[in-house]
Amino acid sequence: MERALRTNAAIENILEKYADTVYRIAFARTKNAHDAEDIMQEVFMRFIKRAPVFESEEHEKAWFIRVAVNCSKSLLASPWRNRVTGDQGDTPFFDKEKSEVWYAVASLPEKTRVVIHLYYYEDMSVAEIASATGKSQSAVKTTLHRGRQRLKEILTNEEF
Amino acid sequence: MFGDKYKKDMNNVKAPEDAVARISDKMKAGKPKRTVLTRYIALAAACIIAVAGIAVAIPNAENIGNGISALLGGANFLEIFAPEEPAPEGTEGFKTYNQLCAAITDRVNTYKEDNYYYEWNLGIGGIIDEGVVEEDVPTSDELKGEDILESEPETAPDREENKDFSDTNNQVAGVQEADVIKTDGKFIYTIMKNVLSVFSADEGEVSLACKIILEHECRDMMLIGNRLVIISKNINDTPHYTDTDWNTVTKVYTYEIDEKGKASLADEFVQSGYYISSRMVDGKLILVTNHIPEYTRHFYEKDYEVTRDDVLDNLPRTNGNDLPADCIIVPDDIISATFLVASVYDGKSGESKSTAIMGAGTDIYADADTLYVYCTKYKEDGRHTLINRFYAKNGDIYHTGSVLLAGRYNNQYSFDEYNGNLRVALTRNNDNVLYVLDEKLDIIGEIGGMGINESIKSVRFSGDLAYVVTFRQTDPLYAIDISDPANPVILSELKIPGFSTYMQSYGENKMFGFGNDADIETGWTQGIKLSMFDTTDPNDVKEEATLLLGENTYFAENVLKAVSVQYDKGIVMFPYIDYVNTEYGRFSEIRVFALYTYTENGFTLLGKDVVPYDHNVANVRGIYIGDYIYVITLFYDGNATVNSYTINDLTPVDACKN
Repeated sequence: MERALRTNAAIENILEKYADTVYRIAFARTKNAHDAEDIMQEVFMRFIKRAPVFESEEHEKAWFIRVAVNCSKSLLASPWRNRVTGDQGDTPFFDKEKSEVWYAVASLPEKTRVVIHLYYYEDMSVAEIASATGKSQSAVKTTLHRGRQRLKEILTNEEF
Repeated sequence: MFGDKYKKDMNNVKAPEDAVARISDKMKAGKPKRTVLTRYIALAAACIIAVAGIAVAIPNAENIGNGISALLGGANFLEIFAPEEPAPEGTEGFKTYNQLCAAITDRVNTYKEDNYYYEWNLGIGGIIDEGVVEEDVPTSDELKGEDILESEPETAPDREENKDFSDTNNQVAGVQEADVIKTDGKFIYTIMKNVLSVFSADEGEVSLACKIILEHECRDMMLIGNRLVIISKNINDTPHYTDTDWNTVTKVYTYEIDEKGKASLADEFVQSGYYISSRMVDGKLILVTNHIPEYTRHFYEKDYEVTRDDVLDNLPRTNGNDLPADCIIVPDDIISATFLVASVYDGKSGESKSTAIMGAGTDIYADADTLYVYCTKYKEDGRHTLINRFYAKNGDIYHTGSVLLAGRYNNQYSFDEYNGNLRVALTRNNDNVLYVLDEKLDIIGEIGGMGINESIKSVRFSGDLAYVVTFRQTDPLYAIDISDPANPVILSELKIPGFSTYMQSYGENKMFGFGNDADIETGWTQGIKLSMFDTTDPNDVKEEATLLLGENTYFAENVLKAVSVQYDKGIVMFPYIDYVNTEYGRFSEIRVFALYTYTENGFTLLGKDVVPYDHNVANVRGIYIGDYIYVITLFYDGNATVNSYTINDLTPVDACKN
């Protein structure tokens, strides 16, 4: 692939391709639209700064997912977060009545939410999740297993 | 199926369009081309300022800033506005993070190779002076009228029309220094641990108006109008936390105070690094920190090579965003692998501007438009003082030069800018020397021969005169005439027992000295000594009056902040510690708050308040508002008490705790 972006069109293109992907991961982790925006910005600014060179489209996507997971992790606990303006915990995307599945996922621990999201939304394999989150495959399997167990308890009629 | 339903739910989650548009703009701005232009415009502005004759210096420190001088000296306007120009080889003007990180990586790895055997500790090497950071934080009240400000001096109080209360002891009039206690004549604000307390003070009556538990522990505070700007202690989430650990940040909270003294959080600002010092000019906070990148933890690993990604992940930041590449300066020869970060932050608008230079600082001196950050550099021929100068005014801040001077500083009062010249008094090996530097930071005058084999204990500049106290057994007080900057002359030398650690002019022709008495034979210190010097004739300075508090007295707080000398009221007040005999025949430590008046008869005690010894007491401070003295005791656990007294004899009036 070409050395990434140097034109405005390239920037628009990359945002169109990955903004939602990145934002969803951040949202899955934070459950908060405001924090997810901050994380999305951080991910794309890192992209500009580092100007990474990708071998393939898959590689590019994997890069964005990995950085999104990392930024979600580090930005949340950090003193950099500005607490003055952030309205906490708003979820403008869901309807309490219709989005039963999301609310079940939202009740899981944050790390588990990310793994569930990557597995079920991004259709990633355990090996891919392991590489994106920097964990061992067995750790990912355990997290996934526990998450499913918990979801089965909540969503009693659901098939997994 | 769960998976399908989850996808359906999550499909509702979309990156908001306005956020994407904003990020798109930021990304486009982050591209090289635009940065080039911004950079050159900034340079052009710098040149225009230079032409206009306002201090922009060409650094002349060893190996530091060669690139800057090349740029400033060589650039013409055609070149400046040329849109695409290769990166300068030197120290700044980086257009992209690529260039910046390449330079930083290079310097850091060279530094690591050169220093890893003995300076592996976080890459700060010899920068941290023991005790200096603690000793020298700020303050004083005189010199008014001598340091003339170009703009209206900001004063904390809009509330009281006739100011009749004590201010924080500021070195330069109009340049506010931070403290744990502030007052605007109506309220008394205290900060200790993570507790902000607002006391209402009305004709001696004290009541608690507001108490707020802050998110982090805080250490300093500024007051401007109805805004309190509070500076946190160093915040760090690494497990091996110390003040000088990597990834430490400093957080600033702006609180607005309403008419009843209720405080509400209005804005926050975060900056990389541990806190060095701060000032407030024209309502804007100048915040100086040292940023220690995380990769310095690997400095003791011989084979560890710092990578570009290490550097990228650890650039100095404010509010979570990396400083722009063109605001970070990388000298050719770095004194440490850390960053000195300086910001101007406006708590009202939330706007800020920042700059960083590789290196470090231990304390600052600032006047209305210039910030000097200094630290010690160890060399084979003794300690040197490295000074980095910044222009800081009207919300802008940028580096304007560096200089390395032989000798070590005492504290912020060792520095003074007057008529465009920087004057610095340093202890150089076995001598003490006063330097005069011009706007280019070149030495234009210097005088030594003061107190051979002694070291500087205090310095006070007063217009064309400098008073320097050195000490080994006795206290020579030197008066130096600097009216001809190229030829400083020692006018007089007064030898008295003991020495002053802090001096402040008192009225027109007097200088107050606060320090220690000492045995003339041995030089051993013998308790607190107050002196009043008559400086009417600088050729013949006299010690007009002295007061000894007894050989077991000592001072437990930062002298520069805790000693309050109020010429208008004719009072001197300060806390100290004394040992007294108890009924069990043993010495017991007590804290005393003392109020003295000064008349032609010398120092006269007006009253004392004794606080039983409590290891939990952090500060005892006195302020006056109108005809009342308020003694504030701050405890390490965040508690605070305020006791009010009459000013003429220290009769108790009221008391309140938070």
